[in-house]
Parts: sequence; C-alpha cells; structure tokens
Amino acid sequence: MKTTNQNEMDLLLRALGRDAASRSQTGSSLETGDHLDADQLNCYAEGVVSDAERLRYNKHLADCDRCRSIVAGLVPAMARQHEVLKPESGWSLRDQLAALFAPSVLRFAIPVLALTVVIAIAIVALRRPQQTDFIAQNQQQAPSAVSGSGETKTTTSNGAPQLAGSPGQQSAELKQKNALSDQKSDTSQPLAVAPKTSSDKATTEREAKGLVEPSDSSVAQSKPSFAIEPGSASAPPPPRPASLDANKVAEARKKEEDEDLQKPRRDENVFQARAENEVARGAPMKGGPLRNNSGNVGGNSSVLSRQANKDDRAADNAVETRKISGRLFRREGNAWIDSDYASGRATINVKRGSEQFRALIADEPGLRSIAEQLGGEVIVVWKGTAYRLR
Amino acid sequence: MSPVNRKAEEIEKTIAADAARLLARAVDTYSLSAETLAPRICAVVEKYLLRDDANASPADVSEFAAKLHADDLCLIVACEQGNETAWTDLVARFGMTVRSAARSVSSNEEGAEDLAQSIWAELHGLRIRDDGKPASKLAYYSGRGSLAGWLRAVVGQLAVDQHRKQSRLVQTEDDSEFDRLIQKDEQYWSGHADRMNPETEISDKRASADLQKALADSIGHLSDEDRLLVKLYYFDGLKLHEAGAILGVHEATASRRLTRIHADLRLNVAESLKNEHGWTRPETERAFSDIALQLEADIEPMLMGETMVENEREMTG
Repeated sequence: MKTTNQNEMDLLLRALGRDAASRSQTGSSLETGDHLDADQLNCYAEGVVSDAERLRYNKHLADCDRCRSIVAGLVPAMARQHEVLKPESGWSLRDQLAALFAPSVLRFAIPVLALTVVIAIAIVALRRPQQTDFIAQNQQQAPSAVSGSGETKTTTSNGAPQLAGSPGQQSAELKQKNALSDQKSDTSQPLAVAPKTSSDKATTEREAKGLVEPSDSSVAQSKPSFAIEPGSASAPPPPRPASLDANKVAEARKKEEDEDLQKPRRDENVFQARAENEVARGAPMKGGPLRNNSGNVGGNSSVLSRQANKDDRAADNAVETRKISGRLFRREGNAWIDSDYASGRATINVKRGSEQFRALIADEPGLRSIAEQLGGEVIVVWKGTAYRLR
Repeated sequence: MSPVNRKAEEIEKTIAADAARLLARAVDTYSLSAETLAPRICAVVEKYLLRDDANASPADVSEFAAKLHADDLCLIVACEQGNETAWTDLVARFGMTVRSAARSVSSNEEGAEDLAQSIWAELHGLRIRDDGKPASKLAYYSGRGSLAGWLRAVVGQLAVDQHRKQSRLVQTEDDSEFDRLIQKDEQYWSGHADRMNPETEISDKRASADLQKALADSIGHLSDEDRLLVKLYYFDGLKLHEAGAILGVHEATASRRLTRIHADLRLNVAESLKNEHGWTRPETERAFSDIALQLEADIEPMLMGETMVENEREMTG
C-alpha cells in the first residue's frame, strides 16, 4: 500500500513537472525578481558556497525556474568533466598512503598494534630463562690445622663452589649454613686454612660432574658454600700457587676484619675477581652448569646472608697483594698491577688465549707463571716492558 | 581611528598580501601586479564573504582568498586589461568549452554556433562603460568557481534568455497554439479525454483541477531544499544523483528524502482536499488511484521514449 501510494505521488509529480515544463516553454514559468548571476550559479553548482549562501540559493532556486534550469544544465557538464579528469590508473601512491594512514584506519590499527607488541613482549619474557641471582657466600671455615704444604693462601676461607640444584643438595647447603653460622659466632678461634686432602678433592670432582651428592654433612661443613658465575665455573683448575708468609697473611686478615665494617658492599666485578682469585689459588671447583642456591639459603635467614657478605668482604681484602715469581702485585679493582709499574706508562695489550699471548708465555716462563696464577687483567713489567694481559 | 576603520584597513592589507600570494600561485600572471589584482579580490570578498559574515577576520579573508582559482582569475583580469596574449589563451583554452555548452542548449549546430559567437561578444563587451572601457561580463567572474563552469553558466543564461524572448514572441504571435497546449494539458491532467459524457467529464476535470492545485500548494509548503529537490527531479528532469549533487548529498540520501517527500505530499494533499474542497477520505483515495492509473497509462510511453533518447545520447557520447 505504501509503495502504491508512493507510485501514485510519483506519477502525479511527473505529470505536474511536465505541465510546468510546457509552461516554461511558453515563457510563463515562475521567476523571482533578482536572478543569481552566472558566477553565483557556477559556485552553487560546483559546491563552493558557504552554508548560509546555500540556504539562500536553495530558496531562490526552488522558486526560480530560470536559474534552476541553468543550474540543472551545469550539473551534467560538470559530471562529464569530472569523469574526464578522473585518473584512469587507480590510486596514486599518495592516495594509497593517505588511505593507509587515514584516521578511520589508525583508529583500529593502533590498538591492534599495541596489543600485538604487548603479547610479543609477554611471550619473550615468559620464554626467557629466569635470571639467577648470584650471591657470594664465602663462609668461614672452622679452624683446623694449618698444613705446611706449599699451597699459598692469602685468605683463610676455602672457596669451593657448591652446586645447588637437587633438593638433597639444597638441604645440605642449608644445614651447612646453619652450622657455619654457629661456628662464626665463636670469634676467638684462630684463623686457619683447612688443608685440602686428596679424598676431598676427589669428592669435589665427582660432585662437580654431578655423579655424587654430598651426603656427609661433615664434608659439607668443611667446605664453604660459594657460588660463582657460570662462565668461570667451567674453567680448569690452575696449578697450586706458591706459599706466602703465614704472618703476613694473618696481619692482612686482621686488617681486613677491621675495615670490614666500614667497607661498602662490593659490586659484581669485585666478586668475579675474587672468584677468579679463588680459582687461581687452586680451590676445587665443581664443574658443570652452576645453579643458583641463593634462593634456597638467602631467603631462610638474613643472619646467614649478612654473615656470608661479611666473609666475602674479608676475602676480598685478603687478596689485595700477591707475590708471584718474586714480583709483588696489588689489586686495583678487577686488575692485578705490578708494583714496578708506574701509572701512565704505556702498555702492550695482550689478550689471553691470543696468538701473541701464547707466543709471549712460551718465551717467558716467568710471565707464564704470573699469567696462570693471576686471573683477570694483569699489568706486569717484564724485562722493561709493561704488558697488560686481559 | 575607529575599530571599524582599523578593521577595514587590516582587511585591505590582508587582501594586498593575498593578491601577491595569488600571483605567486599562478602559472602565468600575464604581467599583472598585486595592485591590479587587489581590487578584484576585494570585490569578491565583499560579495561573498562579508555579505554573510560582516565580522569576518583578516584570517577568514586570507583563507577565502587562498581558495580562489589563481590561474583563471589572472587570465580573466588580464583579458579585462586588454592583454592580447590573455585573450588568445582564453579562446584557445576555453573555445571548445563554450562551443560544447552552446551545443548542449541549442537544438541545432547553427544555433549553437550563433550562441557561441554571442558569448564571445558578451565577454568582449558590447557596451562602453563610463570609464571608457567595455562593459564586459568578465567583470563578474570571481575566481571562486572554475572558469569553465562560469563560462557554461554564462552560456546557459544567454540561452535561457534568448529562448524566453523567442517564446514570448511566439506566444504573442500565436495565441491559438497556446490555447491548444492548455487544452491538451487539461485533457492530460483529467485523464478522461476520450469520455463522451459531458457531466462526468466536467466532474472529472474539476476533481483533477482540485488535485492539481492541492498538489501545487503542498509543494509550495515544502521546505526550500525539499521543494528544490522535487523541482530538479520532476520539473527539470535531472537524475537523482545529479539532483543530489546539486544539493550536496548522496544519491541514496536524495532517494530517501524523496520518499519522505512523497509521504508528506500525499498527506498534505489529502488534508487540503478535505479542508478546502470537502472531499471525503474514500473520495481522495479513489481520485488518487484513478488519476494515477490514467497517468501511468499516459506517461509510460513517454518515459519509454525518454529512456530511449537518453540511451541514444549516452551511446553517442
């Protein structure tokens, strides 16, 4: 019914339109006083008029057959012109870019991109292995008889790294920490170096290979818990260093304990240097991948942690000077510096493991001994030439 | 200095700067200077911008001037100044446009050629102004729209005026023909030209006249834009997308608007017939139905003919 009504109106309007057209042909159509000029008609047809103008022109054109017929004649010509001017070969690059970065597109693209980035970061973070926190736990050992062996010790702590992985090992470590904490409370006991027996070394090696779990608590207690960075754990044990004067060691030890309370906590580089120093002194290390044991021990007792840190600092101070092959080296930061080396003197940089390094230590056995016993960076004056071994 | 004068001075300075910028935008300035162009821009600003917004700022003026067609305006102003090169360029570039526009409003090639020549004469200026320069239509081009569009509008104006002048002469000379057309029109509207019963014929004619008047009145009561749409579509024969383009709306919007107008008109016509002529609702419905049926029978062949003509026109380009 509605469609029929519209059709009726459409037919009636068409008839009325024909009537008006015939009247227009006879010159009796509607006209208003002032007609729009050609410029106004053209602007209106091209759509470059303001809203106010459009309303005014609409009013005139709705009643003025003359002007409306002119406008009606302009529109088809304009449409033809636009078709002629329309580019044949699709969109230009500029149009495509404009369409790509149109607000309507960006409105959805930006949130999607942001979400994608967040998801990607989350996936990467979840797949990444958990970072292990390396906490130095160089704990003082119970006093034992100082052997008269030729092993040089500048510290009384026997820094043997201990693996922490299996629940059994972690439990043993915890027990060891508690026991060491008890032992530490007795400060009147003299400092001494526990001799490394062959059986201990064998056990350590087996433990390093993961074949034997330290089940004996006494063995565990005799060894300090000391975790080092994975890179240094795989290093082969160096030859045992030469012995130092026991009195000198004792003095250094006392001095470092005095400074202990004032010294700020060392950074990781210092820790690494100490670890390397321990390796250089022949402390047995456990091979294989190191595991974090700080989470198992450090979280249980803050007393243990503080005690371990105190021991670390004591160990750091104890290795500030070393004498190798008749030369005295002092430690500055991460480097060992020959006492004969004058600051500012030019050095020859030699990278460890390089062709130049191998040639140098092959020619100079004394230098080789120094390089082997001192880890990290070493500045040594050898036959009038300063070498910086890295 | 009063604020009004200060503002006028600011606008004048702005227009001078805009004239210089417009010259810089033009490919060929025909040796025009900013001083020559500024009065023209000033006139355009007053005609279009300041008429609707008397408080327009200098920034508004600059924005308006930046949209002017620089090349077209320079060409026309140079022609006004009597620049021969500009005239040669105008004829070379827009001769085809004028001829095409003349052809579209003329019934034959000869008439189109006459019209085109008349246009060039109008552009040159047949009369002489007080300042001694020819009164040319070129003075009315603002540069706001394209020069080609303006020339087509000038052609359209001239064609309509000539046509109306001729039509009046024909009407005066041959009233009998007009009477014949009116008689034919009445038959056409009544839809019962073949009936022989005079009483019925008179009754139907009256009903038809009432309906026609009610419809015309209802159209008159539509809003300006709706009325314009109806006239562009039904009276001027534009297609829906063309009418929509004039009104600045999409074809679909124009179609929806037209559907709404149909409903409004039907309602208003029925109301008018009821109030002014005492028609009942069933009578109104029957009149609509009867007349529409008859009109459909009459108009359909015409529409078919129109469609064929349009198709032929499209095929011939």
